[in-house]
Amino acid sequence: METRILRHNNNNSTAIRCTPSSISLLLLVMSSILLPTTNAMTEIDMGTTLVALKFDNGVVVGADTRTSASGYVSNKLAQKIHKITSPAMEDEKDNDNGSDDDDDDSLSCVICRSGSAADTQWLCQELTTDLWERKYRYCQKTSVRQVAHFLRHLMRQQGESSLQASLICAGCDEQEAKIFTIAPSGTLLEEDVFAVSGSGSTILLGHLDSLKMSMTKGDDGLYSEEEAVELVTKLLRLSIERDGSSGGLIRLVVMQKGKKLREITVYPDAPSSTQLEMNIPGFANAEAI
Amino acid sequence: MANKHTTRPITTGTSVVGLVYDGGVLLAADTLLSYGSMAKSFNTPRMVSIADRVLLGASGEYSDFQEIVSRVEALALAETTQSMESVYDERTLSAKSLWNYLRAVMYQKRSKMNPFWNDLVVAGFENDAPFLGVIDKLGTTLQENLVATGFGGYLAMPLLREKWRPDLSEGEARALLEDCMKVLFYRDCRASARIQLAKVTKDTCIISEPYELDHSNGWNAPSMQRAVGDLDGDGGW
Repeated sequence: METRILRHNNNNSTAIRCTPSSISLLLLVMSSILLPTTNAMTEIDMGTTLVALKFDNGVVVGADTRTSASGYVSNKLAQKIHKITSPAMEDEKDNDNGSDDDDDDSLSCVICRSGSAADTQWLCQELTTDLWERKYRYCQKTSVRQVAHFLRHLMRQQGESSLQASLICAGCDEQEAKIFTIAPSGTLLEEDVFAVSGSGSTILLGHLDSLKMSMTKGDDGLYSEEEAVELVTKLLRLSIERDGSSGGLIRLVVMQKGKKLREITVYPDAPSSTQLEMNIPGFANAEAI
Repeated sequence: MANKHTTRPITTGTSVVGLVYDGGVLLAADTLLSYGSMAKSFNTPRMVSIADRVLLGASGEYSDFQEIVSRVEALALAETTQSMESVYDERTLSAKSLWNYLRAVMYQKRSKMNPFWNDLVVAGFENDAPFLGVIDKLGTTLQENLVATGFGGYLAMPLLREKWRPDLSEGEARALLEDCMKVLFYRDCRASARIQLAKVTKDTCIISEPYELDHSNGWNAPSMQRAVGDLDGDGGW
């Protein structure tokens, strides 16, 4: 059976020969135009920007707050930085004993989540459960390295169906500040100075590499805490500007040896007061309806 | 000769939103050009005025919009200069005839499986009445008092339908559109807070310079202040 779909006749008019196979082929091609273009993945996907940067004797991590699903912002105030809290801190929340802090609080560690929100939320919950078990069964203190390796182990365990997760594990324990990245396949890498992850991270890599290059020329160390916080904020602002999947506020967590974990929230710049009047030549000012 | 056919949009613009108010038509669109998920350019106008009488806005593939504008401007020029009557009286392109012309263009391209990947908005004022119409990439046309393309169809239309009245003043119309654009900025990944307004009335047809919306109040709603659903603050709002 002949399959002619579209043909120009001699007198410059189009004619469609309607054979069954031509109709089905036409429908197939038309449906690819008629259906709205969406991403292949319609699950909740955390296109995101994550940054971790070491400074003097600690590490600061930053994340945006946008969770998106097929171009729709499903959560504009997401929390992508999962704090690993020691179980003892939870029990004695109401009983503010200063002396207990040194004993169990030596670990401050966070997991920065990017990829599928479902997969990464599950990973963090599994991790928290495991840490509690170790604490109460074996009185085992956890280090950042152990957290990272356990996450890697969880991701490898999935086997054929790998989890869609790319994590940055950063924190301070007894030894020093550490940054680990765990890629979707389960690859674990310890990072020297900084780590970035998520869809917005590609924008920052070149910038960070050039900063790192200029740092080794005679600089005696890393940034100070204020400089590091300022830099991470700036980096997140830059990638929120350019990456459609990153947006919202900037959340930062600062972890330092011997100090309590500190959280900072940075709001998007509000326009200046003169802009609020919004006088545009030729147009009336906005009035409430 | 085998011609390439458009299979997917590459460089895109997001929603265009518009309404008819008492005395004219007001359109709004942001000025962001996206390259997939990347924000490529922040100051690209997606609305143009044709022959100082008709507004044409588009969402979707930007190169197709540029091609359409080029063809329409040539058409408008031909209308005023080459027609037989133009020596004796003033003939300019009307919004309704442009709308129908674009319908024919879009339908023909789609019938050849090579569409202009756009949703077009045409606005004008003629015969003492405002005109507002849309054409999609298949050549479907609608003439309405309220239009919104792309994500605006989901997020802005309900707001427009709730607040619209036939006797809106220009200030009220502007407030309503700015509210819609703010919601789109919060909830559309490919939208920005930098927008342009365009207005056509009996005597004017102008497009504003791009300006920033004030979105400072969008992050402190009471429901957003407290963490819910456990998951360390990521359980929702």
